Amino acid sequence: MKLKKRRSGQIRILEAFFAALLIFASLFLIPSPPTSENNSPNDLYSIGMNTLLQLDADGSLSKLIKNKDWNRLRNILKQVLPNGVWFNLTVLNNAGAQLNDVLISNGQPISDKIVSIEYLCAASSPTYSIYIIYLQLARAS
Amino acid sequence: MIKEKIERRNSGQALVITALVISLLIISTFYYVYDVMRARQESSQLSLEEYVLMVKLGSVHTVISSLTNVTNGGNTQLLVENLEAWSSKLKNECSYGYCLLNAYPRNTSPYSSGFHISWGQNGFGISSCYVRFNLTIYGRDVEASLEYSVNVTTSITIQGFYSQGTGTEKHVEILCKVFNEGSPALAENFNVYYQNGSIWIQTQSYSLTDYGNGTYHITFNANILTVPVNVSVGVYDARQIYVQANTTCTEA
Repeated sequence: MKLKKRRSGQIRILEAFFAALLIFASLFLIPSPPTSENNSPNDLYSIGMNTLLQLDADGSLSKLIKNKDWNRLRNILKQVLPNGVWFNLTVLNNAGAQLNDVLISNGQPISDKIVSIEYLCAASSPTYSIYIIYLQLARAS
Repeated sequence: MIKEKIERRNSGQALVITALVISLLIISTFYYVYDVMRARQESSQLSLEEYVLMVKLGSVHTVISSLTNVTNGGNTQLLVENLEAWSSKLKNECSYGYCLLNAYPRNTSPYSSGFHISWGQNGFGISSCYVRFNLTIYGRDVEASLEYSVNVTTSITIQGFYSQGTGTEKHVEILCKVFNEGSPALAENFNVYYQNGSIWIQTQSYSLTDYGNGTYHITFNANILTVPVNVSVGVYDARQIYVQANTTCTEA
């Protein structure tokens, strides 16, 4: 009788231990909250979009396109975009024909995760035109 | 007695089951929070704020282009055509789903069809264009509607003075101030005229002092037969918008 009582006590302790273990184990299954890392695609999208907005603010983007100054545009993007970011820019006219006859890029993509940004640029010159700009960005993983 | 025993025996199992339920609740709550946070981050990928900035910037450039064209002799109808082109492009290339941009050129006085161009005789000239926009964006997770207006104004004020030289020669001085949307602005390509009888003559031999703050000092000598001495100054601002003003010079 005494032995039975002792055993039931041990089992209760084991059960309580198991219950506590179950609750603590559930805490390990909780996923870590998503952190806003600098190399996320959202961040690259924001960097690219802000770069184009900055260039377009004073109308210099459309001027560079109109003058077909692709080398200068490439150099500006090299300077403005952060180090370690690969870019490739394509400019289309209103009809969808490609305008840049040279590659506006800084090399080969360094990651498979490529972010593509579409930007519409209206020219402020007397002869009105709209350009469609595709900016592809990738960051070293 | 037996019932009590059974209850005692089962109390441990009940404890384990309760712990299991609590742990399941904790896991499901955290997974829900995690999912909501992830969804929010994904939806911000195509940042609406930046897209709206792009639309606004394009609208400003469209208005500037139209005003530049009109002040250089273009047709005022061009504004509507350019705005329609911009609106149509946004509609076709909208990355959110559906973007509708309606433009309303101002028609209340002193504006007509969006333009207010007055190159007056009183030393003040203005080239202005005003358009109100209504942007609506519909998408899978986005629905936004906003109103904004674009006002592009280049204005000039001139004050003229002259002093009598030998014979009919007169030394003319013009103080010229250029403004963009009311703030001092830089200008280029000055066209300076004086009136001789009923004919306006453009002078090429003037000297220009640029104070760097939108203020310019123009001086020239000319044989002007008629008094009072009327002068006219036309300038292009950095956006290539042309503005002109005429004034009567006072004798210094």
